[in-house]
Amino acid sequence: MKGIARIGLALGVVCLVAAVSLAAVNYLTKGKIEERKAIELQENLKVVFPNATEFKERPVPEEASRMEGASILACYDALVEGKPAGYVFRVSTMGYGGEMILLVGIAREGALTGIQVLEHQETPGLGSNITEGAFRDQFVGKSIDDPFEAKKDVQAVTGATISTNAVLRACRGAVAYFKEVESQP
Amino acid sequence: MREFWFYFKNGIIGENPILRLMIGLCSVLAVSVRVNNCIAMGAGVLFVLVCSSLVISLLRNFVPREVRIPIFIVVISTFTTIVDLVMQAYLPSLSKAMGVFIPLIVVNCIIMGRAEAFASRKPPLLAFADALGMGVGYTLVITAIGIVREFFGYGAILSVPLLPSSYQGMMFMILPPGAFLLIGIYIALLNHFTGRVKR
Repeated sequence: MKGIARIGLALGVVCLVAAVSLAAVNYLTKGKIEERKAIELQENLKVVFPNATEFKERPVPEEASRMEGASILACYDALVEGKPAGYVFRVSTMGYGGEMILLVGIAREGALTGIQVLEHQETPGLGSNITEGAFRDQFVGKSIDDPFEAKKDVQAVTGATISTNAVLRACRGAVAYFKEVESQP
Repeated sequence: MREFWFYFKNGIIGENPILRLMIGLCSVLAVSVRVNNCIAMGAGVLFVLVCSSLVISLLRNFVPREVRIPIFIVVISTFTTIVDLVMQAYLPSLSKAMGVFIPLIVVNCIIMGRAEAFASRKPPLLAFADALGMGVGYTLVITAIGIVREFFGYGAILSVPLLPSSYQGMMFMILPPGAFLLIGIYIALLNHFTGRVKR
């Protein structure tokens, strides 16, 4: 009985110290991490929609969020000097290694303004090349009437067909949602 | 002091974690495609290894044998989480590149192995020397692998292109088997130069 008490005490003390120190580090870094994330989001929005001067988030209705095997997590109105010029969609889809989150910018004229991969778990050195400029630049200026299929209108990343298809699925989802948003008044 | 240097060097050459003990290879295979990933991973492992070895060595008379493994894991995961949070706050781009491998330092067997085999039996100074040696040994080898893989795989080092852009990246080096081959070559070289193989 005495042994058990001592074991429990030792484990308890170690866990308590660990919890307190983690809480302290979390408290110290939390503000900074959130600040970084907010700045990063603004920067990323700017990358996929370079013309825009301001972004405004708009709510995405629950039932409309699933599109073509991808889900729309958020939608931002891209404004050029106060006038709506297009949208940026935050899209989630399944890649090779897990969930993948992208931003897809679409101008109201019906052309993509850019894409950006925010989070992914693709194979380093292979699937992770979807974040490289050479692959992403293909999407700039693409029409929303294009099929978005690998080896047809998009050059796939070497050795990473599944990752490429995930990006294309996200694009098709964003385009479908774009059409829906635009058809509404 | 002589003992200190002995254990420090032991970690780099005598019992190098990658080339001699051959533990913790999973993260080596996954991360070593680019040199800056290697340096960040090495720094992360070094920090966690040194801190947790020190703490475990200080606690060695207090920790009951029956629950030593859970206590080691709590200590190691605390330091790993600290590294993860600090990296996210101050080095966001590196933290992105490392992805899941920073949290996975928790289960890196180098750290667990040294805690169990060394830090829990020796005084803090020697545990510190051992952790420092092991960490530096790990960092040196993973960086040496990264230099070769990034050079042949991407024609660059530290993301600075060294070969003309017409160079076709060597797929084999980008994929994990490239690291396996290099580890084999380095083991052979180390054994050759330290005279382990009798001719």
